[in-house]
Order: sequence, then C-alpha cells, then structure tokens
Amino acid sequence: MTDKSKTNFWYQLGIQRRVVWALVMRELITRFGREGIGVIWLVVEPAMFIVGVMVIFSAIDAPRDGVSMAEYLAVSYPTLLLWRTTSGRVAKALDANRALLHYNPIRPIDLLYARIVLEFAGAIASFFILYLVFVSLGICRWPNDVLLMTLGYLMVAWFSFGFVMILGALSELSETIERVSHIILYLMLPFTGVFMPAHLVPAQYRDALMLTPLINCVEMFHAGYFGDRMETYYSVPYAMAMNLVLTFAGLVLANHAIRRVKL
Amino acid sequence: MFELVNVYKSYPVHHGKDERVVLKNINLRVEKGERWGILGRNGAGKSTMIRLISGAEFPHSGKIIRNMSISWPLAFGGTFQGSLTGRDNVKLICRIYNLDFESCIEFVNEFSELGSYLREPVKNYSSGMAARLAFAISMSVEFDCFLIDEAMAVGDHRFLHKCHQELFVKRADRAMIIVAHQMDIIRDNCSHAAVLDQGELKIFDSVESAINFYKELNA
Repeated sequence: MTDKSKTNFWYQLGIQRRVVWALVMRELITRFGREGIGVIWLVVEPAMFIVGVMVIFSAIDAPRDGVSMAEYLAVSYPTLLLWRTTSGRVAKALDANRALLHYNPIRPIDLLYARIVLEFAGAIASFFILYLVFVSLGICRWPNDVLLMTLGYLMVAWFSFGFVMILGALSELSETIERVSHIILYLMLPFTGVFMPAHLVPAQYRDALMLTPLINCVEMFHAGYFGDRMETYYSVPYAMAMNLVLTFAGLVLANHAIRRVKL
Repeated sequence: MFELVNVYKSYPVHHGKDERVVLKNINLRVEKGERWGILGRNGAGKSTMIRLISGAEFPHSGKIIRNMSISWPLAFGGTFQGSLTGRDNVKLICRIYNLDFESCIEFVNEFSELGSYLREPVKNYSSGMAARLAFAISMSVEFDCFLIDEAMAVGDHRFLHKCHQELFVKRADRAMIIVAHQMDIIRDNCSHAAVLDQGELKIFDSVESAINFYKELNA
C-alpha cells in the first residue's frame, strides 16, 4: 500500500531539508523585512554585541600573560551567542508558528531546526567576519592550530544544539521554566569558560568545574587559538560523550513537548 | 486511502489535573475519490478532527494512516504572516511542496484577481481578499484529498461560484472531507456522511440518514 520510495530515508530527508530551508527564508523576511540593510542585521546585531562587550571590558581589565582583554573576549564571547541567543529564539518557536503545522510537510521539529539554523548562521558568520577584522587590526592573531580551533567551535555548536533543544522543550512543557530560563542562562555564565577560563580557577575547584561539558568545548576552542600562550584544560572524549547525552535528551524532550502541541 | 484507527484525543484542563475528552475511538476510512461529509454541532470536535487529519495535532492514542496527500483546511488563512506579501506567502508554499514558483504565482494571480495587492503585505488585505488568496493557493497544489472546514466564506457571490467550479467540478475525482454544521453543503456535495456527537463518530449508510439523525439531535 504505502509507496516504498516515499518512505525511503533519503527521500524524507530531502523533504525535511526543503521545509527547513523554506522556514528559514520565511523567518528571514518576517524578522528583518526587505527595508534598509535587511538580512545583514542577522550578522550585524551579534557583531555589535561582541564589540560592545570588548570595549567595556577592555576599559576595566588589564592584559594578562600578554593576552589583552579584547583579544581574549574576541575569541570567547562569540561562543556565548551560539547557545544563549538561540535559546531565547527557540523557546517560542512552536508557540509562534503552530498554525503552520496545517501544512502537512512541516513537522514541529522543523520549526525548531529552522530557528536554530538561522541563529547559528548569524552567530557563526558574525564571528568569522569579526575575527578577520580583528586580525587585520592586530587585536587578534592567526590561530595556533586552525583544525583544533575549528573542531572546538563545532563542539561548542554541538553542545549548543543539545542545550537549546532541552531548554526549548522544557519551556514548552512548563511555564515556570519558560519564565526562569533567562535566569538560568545568566547564572550559567561563570560555568561557560567565557568569563572564567579554567586556568584561573584554583586547582581544587577545577576538577568540579570541568564536569560541565560546555567549558570543555570552549577550552578546546581556546587551545586551538592560543596554543601555548594560555593554559587550557579539556577532555575531548568527555565533552563528546556529554554532548551526545545532551543531544539525545534534547530530542527526546522535544518529541515529548511536540506531542503536547495544542492549537 | 486515508484512515483513522481508534483515534482518541483529549486536552489537559485545570493545569493538567484533569482531561477533557474531545474524540473517543474514532474510526474512519476514506478511499480515493470518496466525498465525506461530517456533521456535528458546535463543540462536537469537528475542528479537532480536522486538525488531526491535517497533521497539525497528534492523537492521544490510535493511528492515522495517510496514503494520499491531504490538503490543509481549505480557504484557511491562519498561516499567513501579516508582514509577508501575498507573493512571499505563495513562495513559502511552493518551497514546502516543491512546486514551480513562476507557474504557481501565475495561477494564483489569475484566480485570486488580487493584481498589485500580491506585492503588498497581507495585513493590508481585506478579509475577503485574504480568503481569496488562501483559496487560490490551496488550488495551486494538487492534493488527493481536500479538507474543507465549515462553509467557505470566500468573498463575493461571483468568486464563490468560481471556487465551486474549481473544487467540485474540475476536481471531481478527488477525495474530500467536508466538515460542517450546515446540512445543505453536505447534501449537495457528499457521497458518504457521518455525524460527530459527544466525541463519537457515527457512520451512516446514506447521506440522507445521517442528515435525519443530525436533525433529530438538534430537535
């Protein structure tokens, strides 16, 4: 009865790719419109954030071990964009777009994926462009190990995916979590490797700190950039295992939340 | 073929402490080309059933088997993003359903007669214009089965006639599920009928007996 060619994995993946792309394009226009610089805001907005934070912290903190505050933040703050701003976007994705589910090819998870794709694209593009600018300005150097830095960045993105899915699903399931989610995001900051690199933490607390998967990913990213200029601590197997667990938990929770979608 | 098997749907009420059963044990099998009319009073669960069939919601338990492509509820404009233009909304549908945009927009333009409004945000449309756009888009995708929720309040008399022609005459070979509380539309267009009453779907041998049962319910 069922047409075999249509239940084929690749055929279905093709539909999903097409649908997510359609949703991304729709979101781009609804969010940024066609007026003014339009979609360039996707890159400019996070970039302004990064530059602003760099300027403020450079004014209040001195260079450490030959690494200026601006340089440190330029390769730290962008990791935050991946999980922090995306979380805010995904939390409302199902709620805001549920009417679209009447179109059969659109499945609820596609709504989440579309927002994640869009936010990640903005975060990655703004980091990439700013980094090149900073290198040309002499604030940053070329990476010590491009491959390690790239892999570290991908690990941060992987963590962010799982994290965002979990938080998005939980805020769909519970209003309480939705309300406190920005508090969670804020209080997480010390454990993200951005404002507190592992080598500055006293050794007796460091082991406990390294249990958070995100800091492992960020330290790996830092290791790729700084090389010997900064002491870094991370475990790739641990970070990968934790990311895998987070991704799995995120997908299960998202599936659970989706089952309860109500128009 | 399209089938609902033992479908059960409830919604949590009172913060999840309780549940309201909307549909219980629904069974319905729609074969290719069959035209089904579903009658039911307000709040009988008609719209919930439509949402389950279109895939916008999931049943609590039971199965929904779709072996044919099913439309969204016809003339349904709820998915239009007000800030998007008519064209952009058509583009979204084309991308989702893998259709050629140029031929699609040509058809929509011709059918909806919206002209230059297609390049304006949908929020500038009158409700009649939005309904015309919605119906035109629905007709540009070739579905095996059309879902029609309630009487289609689509614009003026002339446009209504055009819609009727396009849907019931040109697409006479397609399956249809019409959900309504008016009996005329079902008597005129359906070959099979069922009545939704207190969460249960009663299927009748003939459209006339379904309508009679429904009349008694309302008496």
